[in-house]
Parts: sequence; structure tokens; C-alpha cells
Amino acid sequence: MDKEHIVHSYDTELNQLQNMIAEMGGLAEMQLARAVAALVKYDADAANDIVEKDRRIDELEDAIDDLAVRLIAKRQPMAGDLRTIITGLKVSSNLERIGDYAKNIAKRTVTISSATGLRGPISTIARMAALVQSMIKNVLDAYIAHDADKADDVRARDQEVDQIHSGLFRELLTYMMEDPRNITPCTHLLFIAKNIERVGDHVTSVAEQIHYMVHGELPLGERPKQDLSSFTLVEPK
Amino acid sequence: MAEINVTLPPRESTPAAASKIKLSARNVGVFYGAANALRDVNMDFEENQVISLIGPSGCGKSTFLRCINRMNDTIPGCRVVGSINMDGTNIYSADIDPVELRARVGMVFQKPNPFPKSIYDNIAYGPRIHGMVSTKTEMDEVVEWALRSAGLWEEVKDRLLQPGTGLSGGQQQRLCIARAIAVHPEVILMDEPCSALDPIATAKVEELIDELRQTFTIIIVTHSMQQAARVSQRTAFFHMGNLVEEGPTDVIFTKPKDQRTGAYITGRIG
Repeated sequence: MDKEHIVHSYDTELNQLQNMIAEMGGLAEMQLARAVAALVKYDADAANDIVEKDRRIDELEDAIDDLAVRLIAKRQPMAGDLRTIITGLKVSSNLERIGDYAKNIAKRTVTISSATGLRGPISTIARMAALVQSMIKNVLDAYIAHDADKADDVRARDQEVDQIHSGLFRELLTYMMEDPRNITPCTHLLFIAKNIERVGDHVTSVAEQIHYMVHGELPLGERPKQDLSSFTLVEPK
Repeated sequence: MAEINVTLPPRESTPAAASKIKLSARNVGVFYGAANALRDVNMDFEENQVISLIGPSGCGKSTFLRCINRMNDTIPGCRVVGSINMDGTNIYSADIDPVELRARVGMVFQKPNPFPKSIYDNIAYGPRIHGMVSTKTEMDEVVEWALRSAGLWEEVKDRLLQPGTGLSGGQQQRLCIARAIAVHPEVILMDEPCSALDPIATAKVEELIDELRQTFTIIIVTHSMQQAARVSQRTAFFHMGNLVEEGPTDVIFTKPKDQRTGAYITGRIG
């Protein structure tokens, strides 16, 4: 909806809501990028800083909830406005979870501090994270532009993340079997990989909300899923 | 622990079972002299539903409402074209008596307008002139039934002979609703029935509308979008003399199809 409201302060508040989502999304994307960079470099200082910065994301979520509730009470929004506000509430909760996952990756990075023998899986994690980051970026662009087609495109890409995750799961199990000293770092890497896979799911959920915001209904049909890690079994040789 | 099995509310995409069409407007247009106030309205009204007509001032919604009981006939220079069928009969055909029609299609106005008579006589007036009752006992029954149906009986039963104009605004409006239903109409037209009432009186009238739907078909013109969303099953949006969009109320207010409807209900056009 491009025309402005008769009441200007309504537009101001709706813009404020969308700007806060944009800031929150940008932060979540950056936190994930920095968490993975810290993992690749085993940079505990950077990781600690990431844990600290998650607070801003939480603050934004509270502020968005607060503004959305006030908007509903004050403006009694209808149609596209109502969908924008409801979507704002749901998207902010997805972004907050993404921030938490980035924070958790940073915490685990501090714990494992060095796992020099595991460059292979770590570079796979970095590749998976880069894919998820580009999904976050695109989904935020889709949100700001109210572009449902772009959001649908992001939703379809989550299966690539699932595929990488399934492969990585198998690989990490193999490392653990080869040498029990790998079990601690590999377990942390398993969780890190799972965190990134979950971020992909949250991005997908955001994409679905954008489709709803634009069209008034959720996208039709099951989204393609490729995560086979729940069924993966590696027997010792 | 007992198993909990909550019934899920119906999704708007689930079509309600279609009931009988009570009224059906075809190519209805209204001219005030040369000015074309309403153009080519086609719309069906199902029995036992509340239908809201919304739109900015001057959009034609009240003009259309007044076509349904031929109130426009009383305005000099006003001409109505097209047809409105009630139970299959065109209410504009030559053999229809507008006075009889208005007993079948009752009306409630924006400002409560009780007659300067007692509460009792406000209700008794219609049944009396239409010759619907013959004895005092019968009339007492009709008055009590109408006041009970309008949710007013308990508040006024001890002062039926006091003037209707002495009631509060909300009570007066419910008295007017009781007066409208006393002649057993089939359709009730309401032209902004709550715009002069406070929120409590408004809530009581809205509760009443929902109850009356069991018996009557109700068409309501309202400037309050929230009221339309609360009380009606279907909503029609008028703009500049045209019926722009008509559909299930929850669809109109969450994902209207026409961009003008969206602009109006979100407060973008006046």
C-alpha cells in the first residue's frame, strides 16, 4: 500500500516498526557472520563481544512488541496495516531466535578455543553459514520491499542448507569414531551446525510471514525439506 | 489428565452454508434530478445475516439503504432504476403498496426518534395502524414481546406509561428497535444506529443486533469500521456511487481485493 494515511503519525509509527525490524535483521545477520568468523579464527575475544552484543537484539524485540501492541490498541489496524503489524511481531521473534543461535555459536567457540584438526568441517560450517547469511539478507530486502516473490525464493533455498547439514552430521560422526579426543570439539561443532540449520528454518518462517503480509495468506504447499540428519546412522567399522 | 480437544474456529476460507436469498438488487441506480447518486448496484442479501454497508460520506450507501424500503419515493426529484426483489417479487412493481412494504422492511435511524407518546404507545402504534391485533390483551403481549426482544423489558416494565422521550439515548434507540420489530418485519434497515450512543449503549445495541439476526435479515449502514467488523457477516464497500466490493466481513477487513477498499478501511482515503 503506497498511499499515505490521513493521520500522518500512523505512517510514522508503521515506518518506525519496519525500521526496527530492519535494524534487528541487520544485526542478526552481522552477529551470525561474526560468530562464524570467530569460529574459523578461534578468536575468543571476538566471540565474547558477540555474546555481549546480543542484548541490543533483545532490546529491539521488546521495543517492537511494545510498539505493535500500542499500534493495535490505538489505531485498530485493518487489512494490509494489520498484516504488517502482526508480521512485525512474528518476524521480530524469529530474528531474536537467530540472534540467540549466533550467541550460542560464539559461546561454543570460546569453549572449544582450538580444534586444529577439524578444518574440514569448520570450512563446511562457514560455507553453510554464508548461504544462510545471504538468505537473511535477501529475506530482509524482501521484507522492506514487500516483495513476496523474493521471499518465496528464499523459502525454496532452505533445502540447500538442510543438505549441507545432513552431510556435515555424517562427517562429524566419522571424526568422533576415528579419535575419541575429537568427541568434545565435534559435539560442539554438531550443535553449531544445528544452530545454523535452525537459523535457516527461522529465515524460512520470516519468508512465509512476508508472503502473508503481502498476499493475506501463507504460501501454499509444503516447503521442500532435505535435512536427513535425524535418520542418519554411522556404524563403527 | 483429561484430554483437551478444542474446537478450532472456522477459517475464513471455509464457505458458510448458503441460506436463502432474501433480497436481491439488480442494476439499482438512483438519480436526484440529473445527479446520479448510485450506479448499477448488484447485490444479494441472505436471510438471517447482518450485512454492513460502509464507505465515505456521499458514497451512496444510505441512498442504497433507503431504496430497500422505498424511502426515496418520498424525496421529490428522486428516481430509482433497476429492481429489488424480496422473496422473488420486485418491490418497485406497480402493485406493491409502499406502506405495506415498510411494515415488512422496518427502519431504525441515526438519532433515536421515539414518538412523543408513552413507551407502550410507541410500540403499540404500528400493530394498531396495521390492524395486527384486536384485543388489549393481545396488544399487551405484543408490547412485552417487542420490548423483551429489544432487551428493554426489564428496564421499562414498571413505567410503560411514561413518555418514551424520557429514556436515555441508548434506551430510546432500543425502543425504536422494539417499535420496528413490533410489526413483525422480515428485514430491518439501520442507518448508523449507534452514532449518537455511548460505548455501553452501543455494545447493548450490537448484542441486540446479533440476537435479532436469528429472526430477521439486518442491513446496517455504519461509519465505524470496527462495528461493521464486529456485527456483520458480510460487508459491502461503496465509493462515489459505486458498489466497489462485497464479501465475507473477515475477508474484507483482512485482505480486501480492491485497492480502494484497502485504502478506505486503513484510513488512506476519506
